Amino acid sequence: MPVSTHRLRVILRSFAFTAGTILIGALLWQAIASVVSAVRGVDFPTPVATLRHLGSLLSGEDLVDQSLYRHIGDSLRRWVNGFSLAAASGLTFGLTAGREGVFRRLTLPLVHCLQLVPGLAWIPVALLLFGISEKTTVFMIAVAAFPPVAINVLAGVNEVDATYLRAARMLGARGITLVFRVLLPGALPHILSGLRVGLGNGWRVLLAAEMVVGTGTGLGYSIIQSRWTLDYTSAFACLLVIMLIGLGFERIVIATLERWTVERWRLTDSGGAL
Amino acid sequence: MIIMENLSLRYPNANGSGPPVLDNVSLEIGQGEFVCLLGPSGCGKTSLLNLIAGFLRPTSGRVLFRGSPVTEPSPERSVVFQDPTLFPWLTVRGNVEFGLRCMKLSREERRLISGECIAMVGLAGYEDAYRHELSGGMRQRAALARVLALDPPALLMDEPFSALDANSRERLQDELLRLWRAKRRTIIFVTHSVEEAALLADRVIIIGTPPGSVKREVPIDLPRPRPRTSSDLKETMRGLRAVLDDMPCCLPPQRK
Repeated sequence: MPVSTHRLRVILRSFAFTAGTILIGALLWQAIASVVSAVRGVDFPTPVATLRHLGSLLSGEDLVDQSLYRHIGDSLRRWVNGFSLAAASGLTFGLTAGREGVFRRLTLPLVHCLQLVPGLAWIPVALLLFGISEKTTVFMIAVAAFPPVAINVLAGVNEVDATYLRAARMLGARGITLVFRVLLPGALPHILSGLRVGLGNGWRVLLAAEMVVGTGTGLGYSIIQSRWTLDYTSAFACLLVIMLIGLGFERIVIATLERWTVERWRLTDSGGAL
Repeated sequence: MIIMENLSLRYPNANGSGPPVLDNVSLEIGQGEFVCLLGPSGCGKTSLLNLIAGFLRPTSGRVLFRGSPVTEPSPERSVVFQDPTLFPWLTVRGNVEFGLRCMKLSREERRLISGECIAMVGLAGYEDAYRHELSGGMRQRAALARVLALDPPALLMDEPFSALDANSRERLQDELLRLWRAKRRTIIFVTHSVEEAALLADRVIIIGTPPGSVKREVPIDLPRPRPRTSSDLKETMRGLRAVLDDMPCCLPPQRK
């Protein structure tokens, strides 16, 4: 099927905007680098130098004794593990609390408390629980990603139109069927925004945790190690990778999920506290 | 088939219990009968339907369906709501098969039944459409197909056509009558339209206010089909209107 000229124009325009955004970012970065170099006399990595270095890291040069891919892979693995834990428990909590009033009143304040603790502040707790191990970072990611997922799922469940539940019960749905075939899809706009926030929280905490816990690999660990060895260009390259991965997940994974579901069904309100 | 015994209903409010919505309603509805509940808005006719459906529990009295008390909603007493309440995350076919899946029918059986019911309400070709791709009339047709698929012994309809344009409304009334004549299920149909009641019902039950109670039962013996322009129908409507005119209208809303 030929691409219509209208569609082509839309694509071109969105490309132009993306390019414009990148250009603005790069110019700001370059300006700051120039000013800092001139005023403070330190070598502030420029966009071009960082990209060039990223290129050589990507083509296999070692970063803190490992390949960049190993660092990225380890970080992603911790992120996925921690986030999966948070998503599963957040969904379970939200769906349960949405149906059981007593449970909700007893436990929701605790979730709110969890939410008030900034991710890094969990470090002493995590170290006591798991020592210095993979579990420590995974725990910190999970505990930072859980509250937004739980609270948004609950809000979504509470906002599912009561007439859908009536209709479903009249059609013979009970218990678990009601949860999975009505509450879950009905709450999906909120659930997706909860997952989006949780994913971001988890990603940020992951990097901080890797810096502090000293995991031996990972993007956060690489940044802090590069800093000790004054290899700032590597640190900047890692920052760039972090942004790109975060953005990629947000723009590709979550946005695709949204297109498949909420947008296709026109569940109009995009939902989402937080 | 359906027996209501001394039904009363009050909604709870801050002081414990609010004003009565329904007071001492007793009715008996026979197998295959087409009954219209008619009354001004706010008279409690929807509440009465919700009691029969099992969405509400009466404050006192009880509803018997085929001899056993109604305690919860069931596919045996399927409801078509004023708002079609199709699930927006399912296609027309998905909506029609929802109840069949709850009955654990196989995929092939579901396809067969849903295909039949979708065709019956004139939506063939729209099986894969989502709610937002349908007009109001089509949505209500799909909602009708969704309950027809369950082949319910009793069909409860809560002003199902009142939000539609006049043309869709008349078409759907005719098709409902055609289906009813073919299948002879019991239908309880809530309406505030005198014309609709006169056209559809074997018996019109006029709910008076407030609180809601049976004000008058009017059997309609006109032969079917009943042409909309016939003078007999007009005469029946005049009679129903006379009863309604004795009652206050535009009541303050009761919580549903």
